[in-house]
Amino acid sequence: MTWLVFVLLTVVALASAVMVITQKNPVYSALFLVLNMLSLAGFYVTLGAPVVAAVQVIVYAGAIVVLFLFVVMLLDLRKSIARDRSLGYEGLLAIALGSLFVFTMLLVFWGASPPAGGTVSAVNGTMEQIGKGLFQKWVYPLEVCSVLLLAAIIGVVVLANKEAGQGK
Amino acid sequence: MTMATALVSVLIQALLVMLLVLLSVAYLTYLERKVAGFIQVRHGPRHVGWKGLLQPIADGIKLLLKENLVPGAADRAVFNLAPMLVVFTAMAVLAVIPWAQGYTVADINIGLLYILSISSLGVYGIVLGGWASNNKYALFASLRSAAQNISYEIPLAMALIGAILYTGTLSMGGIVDAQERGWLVFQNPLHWIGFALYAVAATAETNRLPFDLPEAEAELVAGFHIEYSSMKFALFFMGEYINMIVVSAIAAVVFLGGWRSPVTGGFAGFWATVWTLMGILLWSAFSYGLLRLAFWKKRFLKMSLALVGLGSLLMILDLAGWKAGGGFGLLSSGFWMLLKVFLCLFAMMWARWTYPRYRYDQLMNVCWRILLPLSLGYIMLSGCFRFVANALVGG
Repeated sequence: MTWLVFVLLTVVALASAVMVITQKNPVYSALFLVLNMLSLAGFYVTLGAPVVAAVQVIVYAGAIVVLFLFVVMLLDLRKSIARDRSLGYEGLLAIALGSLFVFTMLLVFWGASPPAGGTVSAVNGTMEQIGKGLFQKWVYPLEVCSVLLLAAIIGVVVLANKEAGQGK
Repeated sequence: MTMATALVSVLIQALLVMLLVLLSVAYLTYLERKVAGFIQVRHGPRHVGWKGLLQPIADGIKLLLKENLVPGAADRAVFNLAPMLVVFTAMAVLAVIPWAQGYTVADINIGLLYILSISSLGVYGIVLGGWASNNKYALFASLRSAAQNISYEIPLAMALIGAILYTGTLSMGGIVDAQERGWLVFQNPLHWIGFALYAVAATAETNRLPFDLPEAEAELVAGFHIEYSSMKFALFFMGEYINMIVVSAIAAVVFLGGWRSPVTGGFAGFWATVWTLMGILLWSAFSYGLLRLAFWKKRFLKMSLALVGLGSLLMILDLAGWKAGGGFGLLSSGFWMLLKVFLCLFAMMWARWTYPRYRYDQLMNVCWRILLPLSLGYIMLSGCFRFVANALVGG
């Protein structure tokens, strides 16, 4: 049963990931990205981390891709579709970074020792464990992150106000 | 129970809940028109069937038989997907709601988080519906509605967080269990603020008046679903009404004690007694108001008398310590849960036919300048109370 779910999620995740980069219409790409993120959330659930799955759906699928869609819809689509699709230096860079990523993942994969019994046990992903981790063990990094986010928010407000001021 | 029988049992339960909710949705449209009629001193639908009770079915047949128009320049796949997404996200949330004691399709331990995450996907239906229509008015309307939905999600979630700090669990069943000695709104006047914040944000999330900018029949014609017709148009509306049921059920579960009666704590201890007395007071006020209305408008007399009588009887039985099979029993718990959901729905309809619509800038101001600071303050105060309670009781 778990195996079947894993296979299904893997197929959906891989297929949607391929569709994201092969679709010509950016809106379709964004939609397949949502599907990809939902299947990742499914993986988190099967790994015993439902909170991470829920946060994945709320933050990525529910907020970030919606903003992507906003931007895509407000841009002129036909131009971006008609654009020259040949690969320049971006292609080389993508291949180099992609190889680096694959290499790192393989290192991690081979370096990890399989747990006794051969199955992966539940990850620490319940609400209590995440709460304790965030607010006891990692409370200072969390606060630093919150200051960073606050700075970003203030930056956005300042920039937006500047735009509005110029309009007057 | 083997995996297969468990799967079949869950499927049957899910199907049952879906069918009942769809039936309620049909009759919510009837109720809405009757409430509108009552408030505007007219009758509402009354010709199709006894007292117009077959009107929703006639409407359904009409919508099914209408021509299904798709604009020539529309993106067909996305155009068809959008209304499905709206109904799917609204339906998926129904799984974790406890309709009566022990009657939940799946009481997962992150129930409330699951609801928030699934309903955050509902905005795709609106955005894609507006974009795929290939109509500039639909696109503008969908951007406007998406901004509204994303904005109001924040105070909605914050109001729920403040409440969760008190209940200490995210599971919908656990939240009801945590109100064993009294409803959350009785336990601390602070939660009235939380309930009010939730009510406002939920009204905006379901695109109801005074926040119905997404459709705004009078000014904007139809908003993001301007190009939709026939059953696809009906699907958007079904999604809206299912969402109304969902937010009402969450309000009932989180703030109003779920399937518990107003006197749920009995007289066990000082605070439970106080909360029980508050419950009796609330029920008396409700009964008095309803009966005043019923004796003035003779139409509701029998219905109101039956409601007040049954509720009072169940409350007295509850106080007398009558617990069928160690619990509240299906009759009692179902009655209270459905009554609370119904009253929340009624309040939303009442507001719709009473208040004028907000302008778009006012809508955003209300969210970001009023609701957001208030909900942050609510979380802080709720946390402080929780801290003091923990220090006094010791966990």
